[in-house]
Amino acid sequence: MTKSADFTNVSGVDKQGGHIEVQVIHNYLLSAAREMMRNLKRTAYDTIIYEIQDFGLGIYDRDCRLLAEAPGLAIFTRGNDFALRKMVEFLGEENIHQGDVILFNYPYWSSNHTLDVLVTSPIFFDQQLVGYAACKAHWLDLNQQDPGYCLDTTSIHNEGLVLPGLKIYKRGVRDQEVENIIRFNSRIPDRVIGNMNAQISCCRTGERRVRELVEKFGLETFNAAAQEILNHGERIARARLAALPKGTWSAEDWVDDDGVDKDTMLKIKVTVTVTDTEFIVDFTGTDDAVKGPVNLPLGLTEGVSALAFKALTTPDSPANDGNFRPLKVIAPEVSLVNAQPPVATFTIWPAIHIPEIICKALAPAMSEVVPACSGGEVVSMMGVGKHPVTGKVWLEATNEAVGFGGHAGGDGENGIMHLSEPGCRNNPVEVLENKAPLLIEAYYLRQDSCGAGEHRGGLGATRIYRFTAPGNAVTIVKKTKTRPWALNGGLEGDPNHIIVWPGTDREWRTGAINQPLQAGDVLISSAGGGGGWGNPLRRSPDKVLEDVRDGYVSLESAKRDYGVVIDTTNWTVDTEATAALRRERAGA
Amino acid sequence: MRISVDVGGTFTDVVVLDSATGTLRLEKVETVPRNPASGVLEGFRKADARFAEIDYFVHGTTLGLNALLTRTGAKVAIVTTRGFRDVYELGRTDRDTMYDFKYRKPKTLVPRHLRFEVAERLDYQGNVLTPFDRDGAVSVARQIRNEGVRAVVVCFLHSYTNPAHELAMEEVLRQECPEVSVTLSHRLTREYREYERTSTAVIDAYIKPIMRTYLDRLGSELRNQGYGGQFLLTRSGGGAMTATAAKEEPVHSVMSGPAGGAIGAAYLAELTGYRNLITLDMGGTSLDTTMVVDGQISVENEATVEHLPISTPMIDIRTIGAGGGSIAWIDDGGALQVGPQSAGADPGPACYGKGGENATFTDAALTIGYLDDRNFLGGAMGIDTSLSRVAIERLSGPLNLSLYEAAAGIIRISEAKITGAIREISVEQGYHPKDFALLGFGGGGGLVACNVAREIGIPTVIIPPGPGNFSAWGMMMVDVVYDFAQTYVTGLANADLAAVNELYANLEASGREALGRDGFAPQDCRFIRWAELRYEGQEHTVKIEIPDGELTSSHIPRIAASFGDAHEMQYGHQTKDPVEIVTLRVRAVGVLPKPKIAKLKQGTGDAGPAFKGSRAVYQSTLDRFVPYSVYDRFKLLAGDQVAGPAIIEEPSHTTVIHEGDLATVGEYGELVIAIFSTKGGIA
Repeated sequence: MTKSADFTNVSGVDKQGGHIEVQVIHNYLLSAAREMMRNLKRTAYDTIIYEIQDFGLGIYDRDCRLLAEAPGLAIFTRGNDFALRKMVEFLGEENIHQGDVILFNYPYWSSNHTLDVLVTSPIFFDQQLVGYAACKAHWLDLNQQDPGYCLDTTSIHNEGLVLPGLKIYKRGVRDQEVENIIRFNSRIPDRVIGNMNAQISCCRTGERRVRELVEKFGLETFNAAAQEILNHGERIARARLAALPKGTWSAEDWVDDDGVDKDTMLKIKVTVTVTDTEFIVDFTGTDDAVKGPVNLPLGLTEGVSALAFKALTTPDSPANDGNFRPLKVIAPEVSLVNAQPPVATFTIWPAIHIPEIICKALAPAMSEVVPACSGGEVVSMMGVGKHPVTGKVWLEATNEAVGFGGHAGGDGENGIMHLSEPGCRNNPVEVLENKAPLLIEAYYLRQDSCGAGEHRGGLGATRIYRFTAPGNAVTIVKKTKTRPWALNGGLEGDPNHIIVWPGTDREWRTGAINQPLQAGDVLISSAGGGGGWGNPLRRSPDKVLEDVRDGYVSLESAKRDYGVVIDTTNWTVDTEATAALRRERAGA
Repeated sequence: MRISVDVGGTFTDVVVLDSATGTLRLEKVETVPRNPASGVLEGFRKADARFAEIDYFVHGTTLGLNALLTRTGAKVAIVTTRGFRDVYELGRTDRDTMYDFKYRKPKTLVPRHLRFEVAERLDYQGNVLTPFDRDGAVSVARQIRNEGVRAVVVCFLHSYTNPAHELAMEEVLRQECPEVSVTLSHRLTREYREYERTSTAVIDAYIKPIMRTYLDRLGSELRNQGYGGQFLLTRSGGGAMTATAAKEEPVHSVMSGPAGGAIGAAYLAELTGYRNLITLDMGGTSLDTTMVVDGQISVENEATVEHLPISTPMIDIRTIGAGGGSIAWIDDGGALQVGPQSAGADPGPACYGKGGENATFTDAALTIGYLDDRNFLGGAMGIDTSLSRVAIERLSGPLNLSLYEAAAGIIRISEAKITGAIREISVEQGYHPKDFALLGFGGGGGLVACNVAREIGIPTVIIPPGPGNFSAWGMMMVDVVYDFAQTYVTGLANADLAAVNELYANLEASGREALGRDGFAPQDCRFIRWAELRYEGQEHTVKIEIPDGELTSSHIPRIAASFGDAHEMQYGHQTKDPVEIVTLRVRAVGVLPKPKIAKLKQGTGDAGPAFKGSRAVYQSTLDRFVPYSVYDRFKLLAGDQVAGPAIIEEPSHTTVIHEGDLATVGEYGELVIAIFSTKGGIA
């Protein structure tokens, strides 16, 4: 199974102690990547970078293979690798020079929408290209159609300024003209330039650290160690792959709509084949590209597939290119998961769904390993308006926490950020109210939003907003029309949903909107609960009792879904009534 | 006489200082987890401390922290604003692990059915939107009584700006369930962010009954033995508090243990003139590092303990899993790894002979000759090097390395991890390591400090006297400290200065009152003011010192300028954006007399009399053993010099100095080691 990759045979490293040297260099590279991250977070201008961690960064070898990354947004995993390769291909390696810093956000090549801009510093030592330090982060505005976020663009031409491998530094000299182009193509130029500078400083940090490393160990040793780091990453992945069941399985799931045609749901189909040497994710059968902005660049489709593969094989070790060598992604060019110019790609939410659809496909063979569906995606709510006290424009956003899916090992977690954004934090009530004309009326875990099961799903979070001044509510959510799936006989979770003007005759249950609201208007944002795992009639009655006592599960659900009868006067399970009810249910 | 006692997981360290002569006595006794107070008294006895002659007893304890780690604190209930009982469970919804689809949060300290809601609501300016529902509150208090809860937390939204409703709830609880202890969130922190404030209060309530029982018992035992002096506890944010204050607000004692090292480092910075220090405290299970900048301990205001936030100032201590007990292992890809799992104290490293089969850092250090099996803990603990070899051979075989290559590899990989952690802590705050000295202490600090310093580019290593007991030593140097803060979000340029002055005056009045209760005369009280500022629209803040006395509009440009400079230092840039005030802080310090530290006798410069012999140490770069001269630290005198390669031994610590490094004994007995660098020789 293990590929021969004996480091001691690699030229450039003496046999004695070579193994240790690789580990020392690997640790150094990981620390350098973390230092890049700290540098980015330290110098960034926007909350979105240091609170939401909307970035992905790493150190690459000369062939654009990831050697070390730092934790950021999980959904950025591997997307940068694709982007870097495309960029070098486009520019030509011979046109990349020491001291250059390159900007890149052409979605079809850069693996995300236009506002996620990749900044890259090539690393040179002794006139030779050694590798790259690269960092992608969210820019707040590049003159895209709508401020904040776009839900209904129809081509790249209304998604903002494209930076096709533009050099902001050429051989160490800053190009003011490039900065001017950006500055004059943004609604908030200072913030955007500020964040760009933070990314540049982050890449320079990586560049400097790698140069020090090469200086210390020599180029030959560095290159040999880099290859061994990748081979080691591959060996771990292959060892874990060997333990997975072999076969082919399919699953599909639905995206609410494309943002333009609100009545047509879109199918994503995934067929996963696991062999002794490969893990193939095939999107054949997925709907064709659409008019609205939910099409996915290929690099993003590959990246989110890699996220699932990583979670299933090597979640416990730092990511590098070697980890992904057994992974193959097939995405038909006509489909919405392989966007071709000029289709719109702004609302990348379907990418968030894909890792879980891959788990869904594998569930029949790996029901002991994969969880049921979580709430399904990131439920984002953004408010924009003019503050009545300060007179200034305000923009505040928060991502709501879903329930995780139940799994063989236990219940899904309650109220936790979706698996695509592990480091993302919510926006506290007191902070929101200090910054925006909003009154949060309640913030809670929604009773019974969890899918029932022997191991139940987690509960999703709900936040109730009252606008105290006129403003716009922008909600970003694309899985509200289907419920989070269950596994092994569990029940589905309550889906994501948005309710505007609740309790009035205008009450409106919806998904993604950009809606003007008046002072006094109320909007409820609810993130989905996780699907259940296993027949709920097999859940221990004591656990059901505990859930009812804690109010996670209602008395009615206990009876209806779990067949458990509870005496609330002294908080005990009515064992006889429960046994009878469960017998009856099992027979039915 | 002063005594300090630092209770750790395995050992309780004791330092007794004779205030008249400045002489120190260092002792170690075993920690008694079931009855920590008896371990402390045993420490007094072993050090021959005469209770009646001691004026100050400073204590560091991990009791509160352990209660958190093992989830053995009190049954706590939370009372909060209607609609928000899940704030505590939701937290900030994030996690550290990137690829775990089945992640579970650490077990909550307060289950949902013990989180109660009362109708009341303030807006962000403290105006009442919904009045406090007293009848509802009474009914909640009765439910709490029926649940048999011992401690209650009250945290209402925006109570940092108007505590009236929390105070009203306290009154109801006092009437309805007088036996429970009550923690009001605004008393611990007047800062916004409801989850962090609730969490701070919950930690306080959770450990309060345990801490009260312990401090009461220890206090009465001490009194029975005739002790009449001060009884102080080190505090998470630096300084100390009286045992009485600790019983009221035990949340400040959570990092009481590691705080001693930082306090000691700050004192040593003054004493030696090395005013910038990075500490490297290598213990059995982990390694702690913190910074002293210009003689000041580095304090952060958004700390977490075991993933639970505490929004009171805490010394910024980073911990990584690289201790003496860290286990070496081979991963699925066939690579050697070290830590973060630790063999702990039991079974401990393989050489302990307590059944541990895993090779640890300590086993590697013994195998390559850094440590001497005859001198472990001054010979007090018998260890068996052959067991270390057996454990390491289990790894070296599959790795196709020799025994010694594998052992040296374990040390090198540990050093690489430590190097990364220390570089990250310094550069993330905008500092350059070359401006610092590395202070090595704890059981293993001296084994790795020189190589780590060389790797990072730190020119000097300092090993203090008594490095094995350094945290306890540091505790001797405390002042009594209280911290107060108030969130007050307002633009700096047009701030209502009368209001700001009044808030500072109130915070100082609280400090003066607290210090007065502890018996401090006004002339021994100091007040330090800070403000946390940020650019409008940002979330992160920068703390800057604010001058004493009445603030006038003429201060504003200076404050803005020093904020800009501090922001540039910490974040790499300044902007033209308007600046806003977020939080006002006051630290009240009750200054205690400092003990005299004895100077070491001046030597001739010749370390010869301390020479014990030589030991072979394996060098991976040469793949052979090289002789290191071994010295007895207790025989070294001020001014003596020891050139590497050398090993300096003392009962609970070993310092390894390599080729080209040069140690000079300082006037207080500290070893000041100039680190050889291939770039420029020794500094």
